[in-house]
Amino acid sequence: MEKYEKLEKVGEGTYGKVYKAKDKATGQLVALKKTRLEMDEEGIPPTALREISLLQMLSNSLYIVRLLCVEQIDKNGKPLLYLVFEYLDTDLKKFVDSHRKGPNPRPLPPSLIQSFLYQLCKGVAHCHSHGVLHRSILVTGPLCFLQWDRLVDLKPQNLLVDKEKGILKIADLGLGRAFTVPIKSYTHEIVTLWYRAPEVLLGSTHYSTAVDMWSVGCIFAEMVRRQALFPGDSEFQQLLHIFRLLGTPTEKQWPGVSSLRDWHVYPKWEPQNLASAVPALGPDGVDLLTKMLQYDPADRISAKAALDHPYFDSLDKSQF
Amino acid sequence: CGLPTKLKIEIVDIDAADVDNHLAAVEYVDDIYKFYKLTEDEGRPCDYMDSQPEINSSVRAVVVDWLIEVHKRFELSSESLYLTVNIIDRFLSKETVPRRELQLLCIGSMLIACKYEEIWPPEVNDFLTITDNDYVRDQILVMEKAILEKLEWYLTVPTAYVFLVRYIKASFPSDKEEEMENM
Repeated sequence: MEKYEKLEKVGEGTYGKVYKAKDKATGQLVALKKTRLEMDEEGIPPTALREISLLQMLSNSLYIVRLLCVEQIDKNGKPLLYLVFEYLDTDLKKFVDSHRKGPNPRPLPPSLIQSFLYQLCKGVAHCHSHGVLHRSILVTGPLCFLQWDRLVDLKPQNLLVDKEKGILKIADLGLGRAFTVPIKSYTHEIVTLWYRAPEVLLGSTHYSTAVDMWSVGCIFAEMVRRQALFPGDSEFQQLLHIFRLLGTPTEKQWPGVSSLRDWHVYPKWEPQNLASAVPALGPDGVDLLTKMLQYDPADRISAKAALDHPYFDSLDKSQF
Repeated sequence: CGLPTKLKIEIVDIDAADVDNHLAAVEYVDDIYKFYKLTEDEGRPCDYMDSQPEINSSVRAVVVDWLIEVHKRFELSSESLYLTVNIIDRFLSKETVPRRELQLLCIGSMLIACKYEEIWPPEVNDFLTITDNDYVRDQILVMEKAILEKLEWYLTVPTAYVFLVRYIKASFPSDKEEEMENM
């Protein structure tokens, strides 16, 4: 690790700190993700093991953050694991925030939203076509454990952005993160519900690539609005946010919805006009967003199909 | 293409019945298997028997039988079992292992495979118990590290299991699939 000079701490991951650092020989900027192993009687944490192995496979896509190397070292007898990533200067959350507050609030340029969304769909399609996708959710007894195994944990914080070049990459494949329901009992980690698909919120026992597309839709809307589309603070509130805008789902719309484990009798809201939630978005954009926010996972557009949607017709795809 | 016409017309689309089942990921299934075929060789061990002075195919057979028992006892998924054997074979393709350390390699490999595949992987303690405490915790953890380093953390491999699942789907009526996978 003497190869790198630590410049500053840029974040706290699930397992340890993340530093911005410089390769002393080449001057290349990198992100160092440090994982402490000494406290762990169980050896390498499953999340680290999966993240490394999956990233190695997916890293050949331009739209997935590049894992440069993995180093296990002993520092004064303490075993440490370092993941060395390419460095990008910000993430989508900070980027959108900087357009909402601060000295110069302004909308994101529509062409940039279009480009970011295209790159995001490219990255998601890459994950899905490499078999990084659904697993069963295990549900046992009064304590229910969900497992987001092999699913990309898509939220703006996990999307890295290069401001100058207008590049967006999926990072932190928040993999295999097992958490308990109710989530709040898990005090040291704040789990964002805002991007979670309704089938997951309703306790569906199986989920698919479609859960990622729901997240993509929420992120799309957030770039346009500069604020979250469904900012729920509990699973119940999250569902109500969704139902109030898209209408309470019916059996006709989504066969089987009322037999999902966490289905209750909800107030019957009528669907609102989605375009009014994203007033700055043109008709093609609204159409694509509508297809990403379909209730029935089987009806939701795939990342692959989204790439061919007319919304992207005006984009110069040769640059990707 | 160069296929004789006779063959061409007989190809049945085995995914046609799943088009409306989002869990079958029909849109991606061809891409996924293309990718598996592409990386099949990278994830495949070589024939190491001649380079291992203390290990031969009957020893390996005994080891695999034992792993199948452990796999049943821990109620693990098929994926974990196939990945365990893949890890062991790939390690043995690269490194000479004395017979007395073979069981430790097996436990280390199964621990890794379970962490990768299982929702609730067995704990290190469980592995200590099934080997009658022949080993201590540290030995297993050192072995885990050694395996990961030797295999360069490369665990996302298409094992024989993913191909078997697909062949079975192609060969049997869908209601029999599950039965076959468990055979």
